[in-house]
Amino acid sequence: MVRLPAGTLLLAPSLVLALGGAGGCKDRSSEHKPLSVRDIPVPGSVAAPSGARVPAFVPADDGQWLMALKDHAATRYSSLEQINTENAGQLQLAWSVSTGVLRGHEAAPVVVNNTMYVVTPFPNDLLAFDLTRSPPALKWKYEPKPDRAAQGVACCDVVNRGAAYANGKIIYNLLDAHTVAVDAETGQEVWRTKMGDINRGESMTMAPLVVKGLALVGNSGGEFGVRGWIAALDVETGQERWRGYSTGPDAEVLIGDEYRPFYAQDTGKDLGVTTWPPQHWQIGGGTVWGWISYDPDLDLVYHGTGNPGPWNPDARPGDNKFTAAVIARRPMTGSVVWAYQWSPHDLYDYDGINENVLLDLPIGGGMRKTLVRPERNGFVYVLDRATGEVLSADPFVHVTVTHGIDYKTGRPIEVADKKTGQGKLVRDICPAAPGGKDWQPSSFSPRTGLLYIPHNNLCMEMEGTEANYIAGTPYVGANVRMFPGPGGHRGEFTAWDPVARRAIWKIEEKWPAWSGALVTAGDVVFYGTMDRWFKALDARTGKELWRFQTASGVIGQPITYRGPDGVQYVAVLAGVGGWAGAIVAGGLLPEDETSALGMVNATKELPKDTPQGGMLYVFALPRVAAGGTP
Amino acid sequence: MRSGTGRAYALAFAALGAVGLAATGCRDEKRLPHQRAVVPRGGESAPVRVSTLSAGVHYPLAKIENPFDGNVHALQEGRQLYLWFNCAGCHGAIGGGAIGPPLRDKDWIYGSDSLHIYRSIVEGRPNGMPAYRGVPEDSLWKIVAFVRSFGGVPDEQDAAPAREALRAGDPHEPHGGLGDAEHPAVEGNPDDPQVAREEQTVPPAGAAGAVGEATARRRPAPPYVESQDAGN
Repeated sequence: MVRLPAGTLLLAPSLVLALGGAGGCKDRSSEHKPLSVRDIPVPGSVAAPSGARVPAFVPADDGQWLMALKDHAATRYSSLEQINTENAGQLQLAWSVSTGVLRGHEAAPVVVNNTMYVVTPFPNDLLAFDLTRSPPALKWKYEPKPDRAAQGVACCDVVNRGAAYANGKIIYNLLDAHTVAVDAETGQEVWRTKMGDINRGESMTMAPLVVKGLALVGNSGGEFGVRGWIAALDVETGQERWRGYSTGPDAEVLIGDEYRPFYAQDTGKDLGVTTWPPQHWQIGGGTVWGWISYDPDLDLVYHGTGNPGPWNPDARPGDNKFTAAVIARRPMTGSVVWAYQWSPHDLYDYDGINENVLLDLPIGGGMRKTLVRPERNGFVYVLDRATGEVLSADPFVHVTVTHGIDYKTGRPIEVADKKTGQGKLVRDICPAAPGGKDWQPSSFSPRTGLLYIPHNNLCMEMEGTEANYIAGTPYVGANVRMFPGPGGHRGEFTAWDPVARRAIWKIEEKWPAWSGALVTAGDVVFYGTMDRWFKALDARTGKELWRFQTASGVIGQPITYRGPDGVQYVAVLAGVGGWAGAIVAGGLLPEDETSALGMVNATKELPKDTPQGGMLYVFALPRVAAGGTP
Repeated sequence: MRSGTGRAYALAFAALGAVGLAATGCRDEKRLPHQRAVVPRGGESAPVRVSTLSAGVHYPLAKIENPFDGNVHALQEGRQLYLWFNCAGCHGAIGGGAIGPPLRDKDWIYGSDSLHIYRSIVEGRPNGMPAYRGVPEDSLWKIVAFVRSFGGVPDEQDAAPAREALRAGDPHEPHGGLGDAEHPAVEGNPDDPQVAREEQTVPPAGAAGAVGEATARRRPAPPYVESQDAGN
């Protein structure tokens, strides 16, 4: 196996520190030096294209946007180039509309057949806009009326991350743990399948991925003692074809003859049972609330799994497989081919559900089929997507809880005195529970070879407490207070070179950068902020080209499409909320610092910067911005 | 998994029992007046309305007195129950709200009277408040007393005369506060000099040990439901 020379860089100091850490009570000043991004650059730095490529299986861009992450490789890249670094500064509002919903809007609009589809947070309305009208107008509205009690089991605002289009249907999940398919033309419900039970704490918030006529969906509820699963539904009928759990016996995880994990730690029988206290796997989390990718050449789907529950790790001795992991499955059967745990026996709520960006990277003189993952634990991982081998893992944020990743075992090398537990207060944990990066999807440009990562700069203190499992109620067992990381800002937007394994430039944001990213062939990268700015940057230099003030903070995922008039549009949902915006979305009181799982402490002033309010904004260059014809 | 709920409740009570024993072992019974306080009955059937607006004839709101209001021991136990039943996960450790609405502001969707809160807990509410069935009456009323002691109830019906007295060792502060690793959560242990001190300052009781009697005198005997059906 080819190993990157820099791969050992993090190991050497960690050995020394591991020895030092064994001594117990130490002076703070003698603690290890936290991992940080090397030579933090500022906007203006320019790098030659990294040589990273989008896999050949990604089809040519048709100017539409069929799924939240744009394609099966999860690139969020568009080859449209009308809007470029020269003219982006002239972008103007083309049309806009309220969604009629106030809570956090995390979804990506879907554009297909000259129609735009927008899924709102609970009550999960689906709005269809006819793009052939000028300005575009509401075509129909589908109101699924999910059980309103489901709001009580949504840990982090009642969000929805978007829909997927397949064969004339818009498919998405409802908060009350149902999946629906809606006729894209008429707005009539085609099928609705109950996938989970809110009385067990289950909800659904993720955006489905359609592969080979199957809609892949998963549950949420890692803070409610849920047992995580991913399931495949027939796109035509809504019938469940298979369901693979993240925990439990091999037969239910769908581990069988094909299973070939790369690391010894993931090898063995019924690890989903044996790495837990008796029966705990039934309420141990590992939900599948994030992103799914698919490589048709290898015929593998990749999905992450969420945190183990409860957060208090003393309640669940063992590696807690397969929580906080990435799992590669066959799409038609769910059969597991490999699995890898980012954070065995997670100590900090480091869900492993972020996007798996499938890229081909020049490594060791040849092109490798890789899976690039900006992970919650603060590292950008590069995995061999055929085998699950970790090729590299480098910190992209300030990290105090690990010394690096041990490439022999695949495990993070933990900092001993940062271990959380019952009745123990651990300070200065970086990154905080929402991670170096949470769900907000990054974007990759084959033109620059860079991955554009919207992320957090948060640290926390955490105290493990007794957790009491009562079905349908929170199961966390931790008191947390978050605070801004080094520099005092809470968010960053980083351009990352996955080949050189370093940041090219970084932009600091006052609040967590909780929106998705979009990059185009015009070399313009877009993202939004919680203090109500939607921004366009030069993808090479990070120089800001344009900004627009939205009515509420932006945590949605920007998209771009070619309208029926041949014009390139950029669309994004505003509407603050989500975990990071909970204080605004839920009207929380700032004095309760451990509220919203500790997020309130870091966001006390957010209500001054943004109110609630769901809005769709669509932008274009001036000749069409007035809503008239070009 | 429904039966799991019952099992979980049982677990909660077992653990609470352990806490209770640890906290109250070898206590003079007089030190635990709340155990002799008469728990209101019929809370689940008493007429209650959640609007200040009534059509036609105005009739007074049904009220129910909670014998645990202002009782330090009961509030401490109420706090423990509030944590054990995972109320904190949705409403915040000190009632600032989280998944559910805050409980320490003046905004009460379903009413701020003791009976309103009792009924919200037992019946659940449509936007996500689960219905807690099978919880013992006295536990429910202690939770109600604790919730009202956050200070969110309107002034004229302030339920927490002991609130000022409690502030020193604020029972609303989760686990003795995060800020101090050396001092883990105080579970209302009467051995704690802090608690004993508060006891003495609880109005209107005078000496420690007489709190229960004072409380009992202050709170009328059943029936606790007053003014019901006044409009009929």
